Amino acid sequence: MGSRDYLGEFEQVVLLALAGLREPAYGTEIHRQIQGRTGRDVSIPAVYVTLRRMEVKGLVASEVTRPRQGGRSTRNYHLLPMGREALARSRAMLERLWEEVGPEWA
Amino acid sequence: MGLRPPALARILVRFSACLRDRDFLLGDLEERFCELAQRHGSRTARRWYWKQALSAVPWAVASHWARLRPTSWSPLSGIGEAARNLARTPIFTGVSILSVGIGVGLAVSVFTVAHAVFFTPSPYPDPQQLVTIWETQRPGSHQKSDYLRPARMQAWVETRMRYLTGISGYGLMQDMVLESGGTPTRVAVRPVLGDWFGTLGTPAVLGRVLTKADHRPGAESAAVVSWAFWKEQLGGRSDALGHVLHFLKSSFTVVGVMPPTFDTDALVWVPEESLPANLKALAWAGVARLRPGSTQRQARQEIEERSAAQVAADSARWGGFGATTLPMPEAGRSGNRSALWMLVGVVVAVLLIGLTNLTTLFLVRAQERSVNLAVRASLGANTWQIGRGLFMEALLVGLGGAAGGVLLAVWGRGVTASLVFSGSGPSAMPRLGLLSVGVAAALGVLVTLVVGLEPLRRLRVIDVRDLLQRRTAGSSSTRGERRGRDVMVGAQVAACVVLVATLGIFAAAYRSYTHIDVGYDARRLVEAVPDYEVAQIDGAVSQWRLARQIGDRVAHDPAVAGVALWEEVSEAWPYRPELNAVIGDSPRPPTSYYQQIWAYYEVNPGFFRSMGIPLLKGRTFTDADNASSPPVAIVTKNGPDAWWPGENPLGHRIKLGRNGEWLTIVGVVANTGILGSMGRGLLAIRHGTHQALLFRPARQTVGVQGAWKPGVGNTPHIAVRAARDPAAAARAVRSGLRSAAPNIPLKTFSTLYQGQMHGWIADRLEVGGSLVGAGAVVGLLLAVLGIAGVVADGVARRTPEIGLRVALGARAVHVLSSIARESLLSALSGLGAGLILVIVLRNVIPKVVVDTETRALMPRLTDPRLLAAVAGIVLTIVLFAALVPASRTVRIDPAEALRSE
Repeated sequence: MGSRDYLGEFEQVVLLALAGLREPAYGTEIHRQIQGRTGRDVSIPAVYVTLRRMEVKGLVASEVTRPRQGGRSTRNYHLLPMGREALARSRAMLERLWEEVGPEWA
Repeated sequence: MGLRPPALARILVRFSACLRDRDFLLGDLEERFCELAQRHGSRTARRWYWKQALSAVPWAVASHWARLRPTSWSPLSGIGEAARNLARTPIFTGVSILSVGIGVGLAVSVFTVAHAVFFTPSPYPDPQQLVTIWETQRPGSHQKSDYLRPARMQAWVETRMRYLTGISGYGLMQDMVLESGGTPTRVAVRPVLGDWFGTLGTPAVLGRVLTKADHRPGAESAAVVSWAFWKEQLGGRSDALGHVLHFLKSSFTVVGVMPPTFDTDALVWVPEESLPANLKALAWAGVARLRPGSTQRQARQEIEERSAAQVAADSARWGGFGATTLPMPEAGRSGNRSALWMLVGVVVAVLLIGLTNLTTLFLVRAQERSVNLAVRASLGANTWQIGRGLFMEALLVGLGGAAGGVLLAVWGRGVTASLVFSGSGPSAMPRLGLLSVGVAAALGVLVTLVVGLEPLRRLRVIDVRDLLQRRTAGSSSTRGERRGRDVMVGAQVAACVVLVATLGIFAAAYRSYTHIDVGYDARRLVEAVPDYEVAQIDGAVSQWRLARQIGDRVAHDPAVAGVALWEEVSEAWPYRPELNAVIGDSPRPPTSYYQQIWAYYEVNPGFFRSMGIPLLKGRTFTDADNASSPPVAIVTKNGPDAWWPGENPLGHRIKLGRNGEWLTIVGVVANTGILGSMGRGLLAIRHGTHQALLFRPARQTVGVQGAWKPGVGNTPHIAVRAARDPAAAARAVRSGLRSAAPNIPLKTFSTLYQGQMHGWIADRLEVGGSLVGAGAVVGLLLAVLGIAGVVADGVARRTPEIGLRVALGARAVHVLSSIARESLLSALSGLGAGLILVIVLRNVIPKVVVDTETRALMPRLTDPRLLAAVAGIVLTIVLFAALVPASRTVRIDPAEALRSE
């Protein structure tokens, strides 16, 4: 398994936010979720670029919604099986590493 | 509520965002902005929006890059794709890389030499103050003809000159056998006369140079060695000083090591005075330094006047030769400058032709993909996106070719060295350094840029709509494009004509070299020269005894038809011409150069029969011609023709020089070239102006008390005439040698023909000839490729039309003949231009190809037969280049050809 098969930290955050929203979700919702759950002040353009990159990798997919009444259309993202697998792999990797750390860190 | 995000920040986001997501991102930002404005006020919201906009910039840079290269493309994947594309067309790829490789290899070799010759500092201080001194054919000539003869060298070392100081020199001798250590090896020894090291001014890197004290009688024999000798023979040890070298039955103590820049060969310099009296160098390389305030011109005048005065006082002593000087860099180890410039010219021409053709090939490649590229362009792809595939292919070809070129240059070091440093081995060739590799890489990049960017440039100006319309309208190409193609074919054809004519001249020169009649059949003669010195067999008597023993044993072998033994005793020529001047019994002083003897041989009785030299008058030698019988000689026919025109020469007497012995002529043989070496003698035969050879029976001279010789003897050669197979005769010689003297090595062992031709071709096929010949072959290959590329392009454009014609029932032969006719027509203008160019350059081309003497043997470039042959060859090349791509098109299915629309 190459290093490219593991997710970057921000990618994990965005994917987890998307998973937590029970998908599909658009940029603002994901951004709000990240901010609400992590307290991190992330920028919306960063979220978009990350989503785009993960779309290319086949981890997420997007579709454009029809404009709602008086509103605007949005690009909604949802997780793909590869994205779920990548998240599960990252989690397993982190857990294995934590197991080695010992109880004093708990 | 009318609250809007800051306009400038919006613009920043608009510019930064990726096109696909731009509107969604702006919408999301505005949604958040409104929430924040409602909750925390517009000021906070604005600040937040600005922060978001600014944070978008670094992401934008990354995403912009990603936009330029859609994510499926990265430089690596691009290279992979280009490599796959190239692999699909192996011939195109191979030819392209080979052409770049040859061009780059040639360029790197020439650059390395040019750099060493022009930019490496001279190892001598103030080199512009140094002059070299040479003999000339006659007083007053400025053209150097040879090294200095010993008498002149000796005289000038002791003479005080007005404009020159420190006249000195080193002598050229055959290699000596170095006896120190286990197995004896040969080493080049250079006797030094005068304060040679002092004149050159280069200090030793270890120890000291030879000084005047070393030249005094009774001084301990000192030796200075070159860097290469120190490394190879003395192991590069720092305690090499004081090491004693044994050769010539004397001992020489190493007192110094010269720096590597001084001389690249393995050499030992010793004072001339320490050599045994019977071993003297017969040719001297003279050098001197200008006195302060003197000029090269004054020095030359002084030397020329002095030599003229010497000849006027005693012509016989100085052999009628004059002397002249040359500035040091022109004659030193700096190689042949004019050859180098010619090489540079050849390289530039080859690179230019190669680049043009490669560009054409790539344009054709682009043309084949033109519809694909046009569609991509119309879909909004930028120039780089359209052309990067071709660019990457050009990059691979350029860099692959550069790498191949470096390998070629490394592999061909020896060849380049021998071409530029006339006859020296690879050791004379400067090493390929990082700089050379850099040059190769730069050329590779240049090729990539020119070849890869030209299609891109064309694509920029391409009118997509026009292209598509033209394709759908079925018209193959515009008139402008057709004219461009015609001009290109014409230029290539003209280049082809000049190159074929050059090759023709080269071939004619080669033919004239290999078809000169040497007067005897050298093809079935095997020559063997035992290394008497290594075997420590000294003296002519014991050497002849061994040669006769070998000869007797070999003569009984059925593979052998005859054994010839000879020793050349004319080594003194031309340094001691006073000994070679023929004086006949009907007194007639020699009136011309050609009345001297060319060479003097001592031979065995079977010599003439075994060599196959026809006897014209009188008899050959017999065993009865020995020490107790009157001195006799046999001469070649041209001798008596000049000495006693119209008379029967048999019974006439001649002697060589005033002190010579009277010899009675008992036989006349056919005119013959100098044995064992070709060179000027053969050319003279061709011109009918060669001099006579004189043969004496060895039993009358070798080891005979009081027998007279005109010079220092060489060693006896053994030549065996093969009954049938030269290889079998060679085996017989080897086994004869083993049984006569088991431990003796052979100095020379080849068929006489091989030995002669090797020396002959090395001498005659001058730098210019071989280089221009090689350059012409490469250039011709490239030009053929170019023509094939342009014609292939034209044919490819006409694929639908050809398909239509085939579909409508046209026969392949008719289609091919129409293409051939058109190609030949477009080549005609080039052919005419090329022939005119050849006629204009008729004097320049042979000058570049061969030396003056050989030029006389060659056909004229204006010879109609030659021009017709050249035209025929070039038109055949054009036809071939046109029909290969055309026949491919004709073979395809008409439906497919039409679909290619």
